[in-house]
Amino acid sequence: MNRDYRVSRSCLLLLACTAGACSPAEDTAPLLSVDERLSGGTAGYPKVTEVRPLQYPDDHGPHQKYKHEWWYVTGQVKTRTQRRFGFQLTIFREAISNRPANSSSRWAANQLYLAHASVTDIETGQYLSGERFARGALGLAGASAQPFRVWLEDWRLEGRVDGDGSLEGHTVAATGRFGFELAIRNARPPVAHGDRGMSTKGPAGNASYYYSYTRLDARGTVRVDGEPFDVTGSAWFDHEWSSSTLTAGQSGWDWFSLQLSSGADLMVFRLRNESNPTRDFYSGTFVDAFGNTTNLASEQISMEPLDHWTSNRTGVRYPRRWRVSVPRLNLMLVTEPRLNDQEFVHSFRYWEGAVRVAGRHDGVRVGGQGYVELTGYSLNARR
Amino acid sequence: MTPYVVLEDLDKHYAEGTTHRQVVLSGVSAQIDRGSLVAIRGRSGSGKSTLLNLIAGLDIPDRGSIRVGGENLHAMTDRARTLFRRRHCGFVFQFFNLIPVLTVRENVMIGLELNAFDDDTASRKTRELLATVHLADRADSFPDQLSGGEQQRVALIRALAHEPRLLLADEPTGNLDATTELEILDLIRRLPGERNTTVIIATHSELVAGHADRVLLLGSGKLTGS
Amino acid sequence: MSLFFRATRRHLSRQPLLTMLSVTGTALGVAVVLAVDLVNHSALRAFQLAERAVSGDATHTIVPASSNIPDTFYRDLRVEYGFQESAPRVTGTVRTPNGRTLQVLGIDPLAGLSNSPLGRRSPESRIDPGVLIATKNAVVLTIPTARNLGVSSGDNLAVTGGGRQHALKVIGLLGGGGAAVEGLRHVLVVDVSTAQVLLDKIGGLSRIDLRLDRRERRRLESLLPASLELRASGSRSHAMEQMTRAFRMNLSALSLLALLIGAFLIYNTQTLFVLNRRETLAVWRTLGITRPQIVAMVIAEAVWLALAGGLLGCLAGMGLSRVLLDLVTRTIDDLYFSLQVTNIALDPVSIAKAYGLGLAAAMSAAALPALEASRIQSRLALSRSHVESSARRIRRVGVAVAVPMWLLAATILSVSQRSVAAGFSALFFIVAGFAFLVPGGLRVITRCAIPVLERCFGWMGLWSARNILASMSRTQIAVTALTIALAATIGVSVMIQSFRLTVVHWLDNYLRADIYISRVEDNGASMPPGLLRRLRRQPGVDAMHTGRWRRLPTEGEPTRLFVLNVNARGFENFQLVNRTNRNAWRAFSTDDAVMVSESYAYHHRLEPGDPLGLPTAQGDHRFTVIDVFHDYRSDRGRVVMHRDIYARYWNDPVIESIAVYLAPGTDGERFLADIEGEMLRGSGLVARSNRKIKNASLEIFDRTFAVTEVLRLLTLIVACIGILSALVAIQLDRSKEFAVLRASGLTRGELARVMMIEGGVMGTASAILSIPLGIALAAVLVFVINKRSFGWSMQLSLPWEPIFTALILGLVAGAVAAIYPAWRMNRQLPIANLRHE
Repeated sequence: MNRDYRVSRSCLLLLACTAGACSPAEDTAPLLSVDERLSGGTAGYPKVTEVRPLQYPDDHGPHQKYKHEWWYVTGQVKTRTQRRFGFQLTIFREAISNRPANSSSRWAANQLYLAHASVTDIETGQYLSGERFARGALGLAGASAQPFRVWLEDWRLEGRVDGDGSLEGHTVAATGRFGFELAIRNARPPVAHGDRGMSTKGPAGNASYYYSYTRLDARGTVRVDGEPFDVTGSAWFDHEWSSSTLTAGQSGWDWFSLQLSSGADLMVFRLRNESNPTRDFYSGTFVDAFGNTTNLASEQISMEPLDHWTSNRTGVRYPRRWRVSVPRLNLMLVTEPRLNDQEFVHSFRYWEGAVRVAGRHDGVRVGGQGYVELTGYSLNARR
Repeated sequence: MTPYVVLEDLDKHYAEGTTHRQVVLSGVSAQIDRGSLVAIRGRSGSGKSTLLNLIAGLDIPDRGSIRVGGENLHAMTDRARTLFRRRHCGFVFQFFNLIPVLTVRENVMIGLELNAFDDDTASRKTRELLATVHLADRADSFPDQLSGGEQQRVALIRALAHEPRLLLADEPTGNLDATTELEILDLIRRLPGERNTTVIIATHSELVAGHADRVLLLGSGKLTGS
Repeated sequence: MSLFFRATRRHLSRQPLLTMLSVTGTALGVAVVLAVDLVNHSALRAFQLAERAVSGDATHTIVPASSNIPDTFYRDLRVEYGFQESAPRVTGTVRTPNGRTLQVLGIDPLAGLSNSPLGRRSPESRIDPGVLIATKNAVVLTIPTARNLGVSSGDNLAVTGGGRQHALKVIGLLGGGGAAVEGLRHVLVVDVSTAQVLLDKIGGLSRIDLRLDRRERRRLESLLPASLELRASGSRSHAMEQMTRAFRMNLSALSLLALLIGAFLIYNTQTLFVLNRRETLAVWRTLGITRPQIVAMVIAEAVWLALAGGLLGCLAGMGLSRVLLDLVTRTIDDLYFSLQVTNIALDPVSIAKAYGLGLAAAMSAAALPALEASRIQSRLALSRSHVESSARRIRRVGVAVAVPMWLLAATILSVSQRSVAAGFSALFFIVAGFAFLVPGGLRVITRCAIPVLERCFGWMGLWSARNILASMSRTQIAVTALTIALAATIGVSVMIQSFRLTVVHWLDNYLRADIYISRVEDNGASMPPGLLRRLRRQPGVDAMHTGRWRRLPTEGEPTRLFVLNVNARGFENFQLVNRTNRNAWRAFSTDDAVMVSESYAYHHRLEPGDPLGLPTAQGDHRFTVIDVFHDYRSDRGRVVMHRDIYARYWNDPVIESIAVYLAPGTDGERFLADIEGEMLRGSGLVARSNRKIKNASLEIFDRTFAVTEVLRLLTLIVACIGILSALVAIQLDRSKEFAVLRASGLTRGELARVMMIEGGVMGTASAILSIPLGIALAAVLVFVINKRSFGWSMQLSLPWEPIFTALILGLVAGAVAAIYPAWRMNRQLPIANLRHE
């Protein structure tokens, strides 16, 4: 999935706001102004047009000449008493200028960092989240490949990466109300999406470089309202970069990262056309229990909301349960949120939450867990 | 007849500077009957005006007492004296002393208003009174647009509008020609007579004195005859 | 009663001029009070708004003990210690090519506090953080500021900052109304990186705003290095209020003087109204109007006039405040801190206060005439002679009232040691006491003037003098009002001149060096290394002193510490107050000792020999006060320490200014040109001759008192109106008398001359009487008010010029005020006033 759009998504959101499409209750002041961002936009930044082999650990670091980039960790963890939590940390990088910052001030920067973090406390039904901003200067925020480190103030993702791509590190984020500090270690090698890491995201030819660790062991502490919990569980890591924006007519996406009890993992996404479902664009990668990957083309995937949930806070209606099918693999899965309200409402608004999975693969019942991200839904959305 | 005004042994002097003391009235006693018209005669400076001021409660005697309608003015507070005067006295002066910034009608209405007559009664009475003295058409004039005789006629009905028991007139014709003097005198006799009003006129005029029921002669602050 | 009040109103409308004058008097008094109050209020508010706009609901601020906060500390604060509710600020000023000063506010657009208008979540914010950060020299300003500067989005804006030219690029405007935008007037909002370059503060922050709860505050306090200080928010506004309190109070007192004179005017008018209507009032009494009703009527009349005057005064005050605003703001800007205010905040409380004061003044001023009116019993009781005798009474009791009032004033002064308010109340009693002596004085002066008048003007002169003496009841009040106004003029002038002479004398002694080199922007940065050495090699240099300013975080306000590297000769420049310590120089250069300026000593109650605790880099340390020196640099005062002593407790090599003594025979201008061309070009440094600094200092001094001059002038206008209304009333009162004279053959010209002579005599008498009072006022202002307000002592000098000016003013005011009544009287036919009665 091209979460390159995630930053671009702000533009969409702003467009919606300008058009009067935002609910006034939304506490979303414009972070990035529309005109500047879309007009100046990606001009002067290289597009992803050709396949290049991914190199570890170098590609874990930043690719600053590209407009957008992010590092993303989600997962579900449990205490010894089976109390379950979901967690998320995303650190975005955006180039705000393609020229080097030329100033004697240490504050001068051409990179801007954003971070989103959340914890879902399934037992108490709480979803806690926060966001951060900083410039890539003065040590406030930044990223490096060796040692691998991505940080925004004291939120961070760091570790040791070997040439074969094996990763051992930890991820930390905390606010006054929640936090986590988890050691992560990859349980299977990184998976390059699309054509050796070049992931296409639409008929128009936009693309990004994109790879994932679909399964990491996670162990550490989750804190909710000051109370720490020792937890273990499983996590997912994504890293993606590009310079392209959403293709005209695309209004949002639905993205799934699912870990099945059979040992297989599935990443699928759909880019929705704002008016015509037949022009939706699908893509995905299937990883079987032995680590073999299969790229899934647009026509091989189907996704279907089974019911909906409406946010009390924003009034926005999101799909709740989904049926995801890949007929070619004889795979049919139904996802259901662990908690309905996992809506992230800060400078950006979207739904990103822990789900449980149930279904059949090759005629055998499978279960599982994962994270789902739903963006571009608004009060006035046509679909 | 019962006496309406009783003066007993009045003394009055004014201090002039720190040393000199001018005696104005000395040992004045008199009784004035209700409904009578009394003239106080005397030369200028004989104390006529002072006597009138004392009777009206405008001034306080140094000694002696003044009873008007049975009330001892001397014993009253200033406020009570003022209210007594408001209700029971009417004043006419030599120089008319109309309020220059009020119209003829308004001047006449002062007494009525101060005595809380309602608006309708007050304007009806004013109209009637102005008609009596043939000034109905001058109601909205200001005093300085009127002749002396006209002003004094207004002053007279102003003094009588609220139907006082006592009318005090200080040289009311002193500033008028002979014809007008007669006219005013006639009014002074006629108007109060209908209501049993006691009238006291301070004057040096023979003519005025001739119209009085009784004449008190004042000379150098003493009552010298009657 | 309605007819009674109708008569009152008609009476007023039949005396349009007198009514108008009374209304004008009140209006001017109220206007001046309101204007000063509005300006004071607006200045404070502008400061608070600016604070609020920038800091939002910050609860605390980290400030550096000196110069700047290292920006790495900010990094640690957020990354290591996790204080996310924190926002860096870099502040300073730049100049536009046409010399306007603009504030620069450097922010991190990504790090606003949640509720600050500059925060990223505020509705006012239209700043694109990315563009503000990434665009070179990007600036955002409010729409009014942009309009003011004549720029719009996308334009370039040239400024000078840190001694260099910069072309700023306007990338956006902050719109909307509201306090936030209001508070950012004249502010250039830029990114921290841009601000550091513009202001030459690379690596430094001016402060960090924070929002902390109690637990976080304690944690932060334990983490803070000694060079930084955590303060509660609003302490800046509070300090600003404290700093300017004396200044604002002085303005308010001066404005109240105008109101006082306005009250005299009302008193004057009401007394005249009562006199004019004594017969009518007597008639009303015969008709049965009670005494309280008469009192109520006279007061009601005054209230009517004051209501109208107050209304006009409020309108005029709003207008006047705009005139004063610039003067006051510039003074605060010159003397205290950078402040720019363009908008008068129409504070309803100020308006209500001024209006209420006007009404109260009118009512109390009318009280005496009202009582006088209620005493009217009959025509007899209110003869002219009666009134005159009561005027005589005032004259007789004059000394009996004046002396106790002066004793009271003396007692207040001796009992209250430091209170400025007490100083002003003593001043009030001195003036009030003197007011009772004016009638007697007028009489004496007029009597003495008779021979002169007779010689100059013949019978007309004689007659004028007699008229004045015969109608004291009417004239004495007007003369009193004019006397007070003239005395205020003299007092304030003498004070300013004394002050100026003292400052000139001080500057001459203090600025002994020939050339002073400093940074263009006062930003705490050091002189370039090697400059001293290079200067020393420059031909013509005899000696040099270096200076360094520090702000030490002391209790209450920070202490300004001036670190001076000076030799024994330079030390002589200090004018010591006590001179008790014979070894002052040795103590200064070798002991743990400091000198304190007079203001500092006053505010901190220090005497020679006292210990003074200062926070050094090595913790608090006690220094001994050697002596107090005269210093008129700032009314907050300063502490001076020798560089050698400073070096014991601070490791700080920074030098901010250099004073150069040239060898005899060196051409100063030439030297200046030489070093400017070679050494200082492009360095952000400027060299100035001592004459230039002296002139600049005196310019600031004169600007400081510009507002005082305006208020003084207004006070004088109020008093002239008083004289005018008194003369008009006299004319009204004596119209019959004048008519008789005209009928008997007096020509118009002669009558007019009589009136002008009368006016002139009254004016001159006022002026003569105002001289002793004026000098007394000046003495109190110099020795009490200034000392108590600012801690400065100065010499009282008696320049002739203000006294001479007052004499001329009095004469002219009196004569000019007579022109209108004379003209008006001459317009009337004599018969008009003869016809009645």
